[in-house]
Amino acid sequence: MARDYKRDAIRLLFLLNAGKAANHDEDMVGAYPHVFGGEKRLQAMDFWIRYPDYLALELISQHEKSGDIAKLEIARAIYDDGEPSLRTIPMLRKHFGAYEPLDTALAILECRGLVRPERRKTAVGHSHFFFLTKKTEEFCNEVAKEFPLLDWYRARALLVVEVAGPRRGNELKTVQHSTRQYHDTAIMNYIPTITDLVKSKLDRFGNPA
Amino acid sequence: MINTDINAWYDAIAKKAGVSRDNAKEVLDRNSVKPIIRPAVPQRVRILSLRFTGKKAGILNDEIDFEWKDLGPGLHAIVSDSNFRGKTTLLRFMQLGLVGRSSLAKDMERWFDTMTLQFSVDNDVFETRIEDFHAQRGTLVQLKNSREFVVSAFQDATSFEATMETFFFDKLGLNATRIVINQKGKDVAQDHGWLWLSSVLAIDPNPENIFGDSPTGIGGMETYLMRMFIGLPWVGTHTTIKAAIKGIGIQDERAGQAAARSQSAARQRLSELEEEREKVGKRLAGPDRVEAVVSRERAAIHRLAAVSAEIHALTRRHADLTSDLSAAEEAITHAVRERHGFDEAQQAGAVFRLLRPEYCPSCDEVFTEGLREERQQHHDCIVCGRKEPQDEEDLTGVREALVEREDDAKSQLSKLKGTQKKLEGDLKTKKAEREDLETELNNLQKEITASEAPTVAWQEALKLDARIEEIRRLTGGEAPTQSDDLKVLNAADTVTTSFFADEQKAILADVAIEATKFARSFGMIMLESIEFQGTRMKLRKAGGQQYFGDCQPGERKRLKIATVLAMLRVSEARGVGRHPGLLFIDSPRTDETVDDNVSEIVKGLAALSDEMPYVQVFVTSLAVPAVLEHVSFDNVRKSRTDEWMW
Repeated sequence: MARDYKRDAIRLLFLLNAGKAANHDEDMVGAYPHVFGGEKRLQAMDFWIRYPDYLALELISQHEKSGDIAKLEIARAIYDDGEPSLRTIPMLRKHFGAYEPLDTALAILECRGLVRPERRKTAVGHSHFFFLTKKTEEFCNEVAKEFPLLDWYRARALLVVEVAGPRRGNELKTVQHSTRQYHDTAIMNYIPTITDLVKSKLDRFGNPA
Repeated sequence: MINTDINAWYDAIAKKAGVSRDNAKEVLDRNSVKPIIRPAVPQRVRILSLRFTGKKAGILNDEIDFEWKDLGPGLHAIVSDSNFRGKTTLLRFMQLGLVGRSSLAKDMERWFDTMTLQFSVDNDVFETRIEDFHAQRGTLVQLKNSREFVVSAFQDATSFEATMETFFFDKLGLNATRIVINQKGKDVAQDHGWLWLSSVLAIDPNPENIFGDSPTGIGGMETYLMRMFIGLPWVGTHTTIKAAIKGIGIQDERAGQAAARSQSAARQRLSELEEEREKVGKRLAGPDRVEAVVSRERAAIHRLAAVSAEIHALTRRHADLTSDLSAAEEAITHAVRERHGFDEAQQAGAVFRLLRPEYCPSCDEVFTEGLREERQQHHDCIVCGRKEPQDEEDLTGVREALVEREDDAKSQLSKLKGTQKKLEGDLKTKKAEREDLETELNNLQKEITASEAPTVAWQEALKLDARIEEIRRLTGGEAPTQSDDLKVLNAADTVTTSFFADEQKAILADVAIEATKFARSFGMIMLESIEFQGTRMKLRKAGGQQYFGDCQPGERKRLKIATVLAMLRVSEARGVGRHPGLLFIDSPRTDETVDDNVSEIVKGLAALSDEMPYVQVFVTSLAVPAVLEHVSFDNVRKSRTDEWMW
């Protein structure tokens, strides 16, 4: 099936809204009360939405560190719902990992006054910011209510933001690169799924009580 | 050092059989036993290029014009991102060009028009050309000094196979063999030629045997194959002798039946005595005589061989079915993803119709009401100003088609699962049958051992046999030539074996050492040593012992490749051997998982290209990094952008 930019735009919209923070830029806060910082962070989080098995692997890893049983149960639910087979949207491996140009999808959001991307110079290079207007959140709520099929993206974006926590884009990429199948994918090839690897890890934890 | 003195061979047989040299030679000639001591200088076959043309039929009706040229020695990989994209077909085409018999799927054969396979035997270059694929008509030519010499022309499938057999027998110093096998309880002599011998070139995903692909235990075929490729002189001779001995057994049986039909008066007395001997035998030796047990043992061995062959066939079908099941599951996933994507895209489209564009994301210009009205009047896009399409894209029936495809895939999977269930049931039944036969054989062995203690009664039975033999001679008995023949042939068996047995043992010991190294380089790091007991392979690993047949499929595959490479290395070092140094390794058609066996083997093989420049290997695999990183870029044939190989 040909690529559908509007479907991409919906996914990004929910992700930007879920991962937003208060805008401290006094000149802009009036029109744009919230901001999502970092393109690398956006790409890394988008990767977890597009590859449910890698997200499940991270949930298992967090469960192993913290003992939080809820994380394991979410990972298990991802598998029980067949998400690695049905929800995976393949992503190409570029020099620094999973990457996909977002310009077209963001332009769909931008021209409708939902997001304003900006590239700003910093002491060490450039940073990307995605400023969100007042109506962004209202619009997200309306879409989730009116279009139940797309509500999955809202819920998944919230989960990914929770799993990512306060980590920056670089830190998230390091975590994703630590999986051999991701790191070893040749440049310009699609990153393979790791369905069987994660399944065997889940099986090792036995059945839920 | 191996003895190749033909005169000494005739003399030794005559002496052992207690007949004159002329008599011995006459018996051997009559039974077509010739001394074959051709030196087997290693000849290496290498594929240089492959081309085929045609047109696909059915859903994929595009033209076929595949070419892969400038192939050198070393490791070559045929890779694609998905399964069922035509990788194995390439291997089968190469085999077709060498063997002369197609192993392509029948429905696919119709697609092809021509095929050309260029290959070399050492430094000579040849080309198998099929000009009419349907009729299997073409030529085998030699290319020399920019000229072409027709070696042979063939008009149909039979002459094609005969052409390739004659050619390779001549080039590689091989010869056909006659093997007696048991078919439905009857011994039948079968000739096995190049088609069967060439099975050493292919390594299946799940090999059952170390040498070739004959069902285990049938007529000593595996032993013959091993000896033929080790390249020892006398091997062809020895196999002919063995077949002749068994053949005489068949003739004796027939002669016995004929005698029974024409009960002459002269034999009347003999039958009476034989009847008496049977009674005496029963009385003296009891019901558990060795003969009876041996006869039961023979019957059980035949049944075991038949059941093993059936299990072999069922296992192969099961492996194929597993691949088909993975493909069917993949098809369902694909169909559901498509339908899901379609629904989401429809909703996403509707979402953005709720909001009007406010400003241009490129120049930041805010759209005024005036501009908006003007563009709406002209039906132009508010953002880019281009004409908006008048009609919405017609999506009628698209979703229904997607749902139908999903349902079809599910129904296909359900059918395959039914077939798999039945097949597994059959396999279970046959395996249980095999286990019962093995237990029966074990018990019979014990009975034989117990019966072999010499007893007074048994000695008495032997005396009776001697009397019967004497009367048999008086009444004309059986044709003396047969037993003379058997005497000479049995002597020939012993003498011939003694001529090459020591050398064979030494070579197999070398092969075992080399094979251990290779298998370790293929990731079997727990392997300590290998030992050949005939054609059986015994392994020492992780402190324990195991036979080849008990290993996992992946291990068996590694061990088989390791053994072939070891034979090649030993043959190169000793300057004797007949394996052409060409290998086709096909991967199992698994779904998404990477086949670790293939990765490990590829790593090991890649390291060999400098060390063994006379070997050419073709391996099929999914395009995974483990394979791509180890095979030279020039030696990788990857599927096209539409994912098909051809």
